[in-house]
Parts: sequence; structure tokens; C-alpha cells
Amino acid sequence: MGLTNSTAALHSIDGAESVITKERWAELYRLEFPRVYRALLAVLRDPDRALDALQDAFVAGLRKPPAADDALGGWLFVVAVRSARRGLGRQLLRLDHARSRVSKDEIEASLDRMEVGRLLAGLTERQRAMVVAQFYLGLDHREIARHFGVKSGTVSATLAQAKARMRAEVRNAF
Amino acid sequence: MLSELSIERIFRRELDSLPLPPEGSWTPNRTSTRRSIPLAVLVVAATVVLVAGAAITIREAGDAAATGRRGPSTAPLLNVPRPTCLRGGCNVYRSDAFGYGIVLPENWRVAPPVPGATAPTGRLDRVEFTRQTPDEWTRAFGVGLVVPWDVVVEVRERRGALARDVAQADGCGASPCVAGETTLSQSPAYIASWPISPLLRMNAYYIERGDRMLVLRYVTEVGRDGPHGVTERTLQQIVDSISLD
Repeated sequence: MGLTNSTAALHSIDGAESVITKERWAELYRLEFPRVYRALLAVLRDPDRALDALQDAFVAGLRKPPAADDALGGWLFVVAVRSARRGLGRQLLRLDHARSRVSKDEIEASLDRMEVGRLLAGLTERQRAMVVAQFYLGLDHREIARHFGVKSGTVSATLAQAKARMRAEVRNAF
Repeated sequence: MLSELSIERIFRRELDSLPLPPEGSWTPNRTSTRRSIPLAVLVVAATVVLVAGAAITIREAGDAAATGRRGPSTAPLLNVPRPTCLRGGCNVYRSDAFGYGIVLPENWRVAPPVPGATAPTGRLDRVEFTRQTPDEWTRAFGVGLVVPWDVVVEVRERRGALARDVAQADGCGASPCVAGETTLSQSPAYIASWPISPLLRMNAYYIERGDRMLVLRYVTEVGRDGPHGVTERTLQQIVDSISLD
């Protein structure tokens, strides 16, 4: 899988040696992949961008893993969301994309058939990311704020706006 | 009406149904540098592949017409070493009896049947593809032992079972299992992956085909690549190459 020196321990953000080895990181990543990938699909609505972004998060974790295992899903999610935003301007295609096999149109069609997909469609990408982090990944406001690098009040305000919009969407549907 | 509890349930129920990509693509092959290919290069490459594919199709159609090969056949399975790749020396294994073909990279071959092995009830066919040399493969094989880095294609009687049920019977669920759905040769396939030991991981694809189930599977070693440069991507490419009649 391209992992080398697999017995060497990685280093955490503060420079201290972490217990997360490369093998452990790959194992944790695989365990979290389904949940985080689906969360990214809900936010980005694009399987290629979701896979690309999550792979970038994996590589980022190889270089500089999070300090603890317990918030790994949230960490991967936020790193991937940031990577996806940075990648929006790329005009290059990568061979890896040929392997996602589910098209953007298919994912969008699936999401449009879902209640959740319709609720999220009316939100901004940032609102979608926070809503998915809370309701699908199960992060609380404090964790979302820490991962996104914003104040807790900003998270509360963003989520309040998103929920108001989703409520309006529900009302309009009936 | 839209309580947070109900929202969470809806999110989990609906988003958990979104399809996952093949497990072989979860981890990037590159870990440090981006491997980007300009669109123009891809277009040129795709054109070359299409032209080559068309030429091969025309030649194969001519072969088929000349030999009258059409429809199901009960002839023994043959390893047909027909070159189908412009570069790399790929071979095609075709099973007319069970209606599939699969592309093997250079130096891959069909492993010999295991002497004295008894097929489980309901198994109609089993073919194992390996990159290992005959000596290596013989040393690797033992009773009940799965040879890592080989690709196995099995045809089983379905007996009304769903792909998910068969995967569970094979071990998905007894061990922590990651499952999802994908498409192989334009047919829906159920993917499952589970550890069979601390160092080995099973990856399996189940395709429902009428009253039969086609199963493709391979075993990888955690944190290692296989012999002779075989990687999980190699195995994934073999699986991806399957064509169904």
C-alpha cells in the first residue's frame, strides 16, 4: 500500500512520539473510511472529490497524525473538507479517479431521492459540513469548533441557520 | 417534527446506504507526492485504448465466427493465453461454461487444482489465479490455507440467497466486516472485506447471476505487498477486468 518503515512510530503534532504507528494509522483509517467517506459524499456530492479529499487526509495523517485516536473520524473529515476546498481550482484529473466507479450524477441522484439529501441541498457547503459533523458523525459543538478551528459560538450560529433552513425545507415539502 | 434525535436517525439510515468505492482504492498508492495527469494526456491515452479495444473486438469477433463459438458450453475450462494488451503482455482467461472472462497481467497463470480436494456443496467451479511460481505456490499451499495475493473466482449455486447472505456465511460479520456495493462489468456487486487473522484480510465480491453466484476474492497481508511486485491494486485491476456474458 505504499507504506514504508511500518514499524517506525509517527510523530504527533506537538512533536512528541505518538503511539500511532503507520500500520495503526492505516488500520484506523480503514475503520473510519466508510463513515467519513459517506459524510464527505453528503457534503461534496461528488464521489471523486470525496475520495480524493479523504486520500489526502490519509496522507496528511501519515505525515502528522492527530494526537489521539478517539476523534479520528472528525479529524479525517475536517482535513478532507479543507483539502476538497483547496482542490476546487485544480484543472487536472488523476488516474485514481477512474476507480471511484460511481459517477457524480449517480450520487446526486441518490442524495436527491433521500430526505437528508434534499435537506442538505439548500445549505452552503460549510453549513452542510457542520450539519453532517453533528448529525452523522456525532460531534458536539465543542468538537466541531476545535476541528474547524472556529469559536463555539460560530458553530452554534452556523448550525442554527442551517437548521432553520432545513425546517423551512420540511415545511415546504408538505 | 424535526427533533435532533430523529434527524440523527434519518442521517444515519440514509447516508449509510450510500455506496462505497472498492476497498482497493481507499488508500492512495502515493503517500507523499501527487501524481497528476493532465486532461490532454488522459484523452490521448483513452483514444489509444479505444482504438486498441476496437481492433481486439474485431479480431475476436472474427475468431468466434470462424470457430462457431457462441452460447454456453460444457467444455472444460481452458487457459487461453491470447494477448490482449498492446503493452505488458496481458492474457485473457475465458470461461465459456460459466460466462465470464478476466484479464491477467503478464506472468500470471492458473494455479493447478489441489489433488484430493473436495468441492463444498453448491460450488460449481473454482479457478485460482496466481503470480507465484509453481514452486512458490506449492510451498504456500496447504490444507485449509488460503494463498495470499492470489485471485480466486468461484461459481456457486445461489439457491435464492442474496449476496449479503453469502458474504456473511463466508465470514463477513463473524469478524468486523466492511461492506458496500459497486458495479463489475455493469452488474451490481456486493463487496465485503474482513480480517481472517491478525495479518491477513479477505476481500470478496459477490455478483448474483440468476441461479448462480459469482464470487471473486483475494487475501492480502496487512502492511505488506505481495510477491513479485503484486500489490492490492494489481488484484483490484484483475477483479475490475472481469467481463460477464
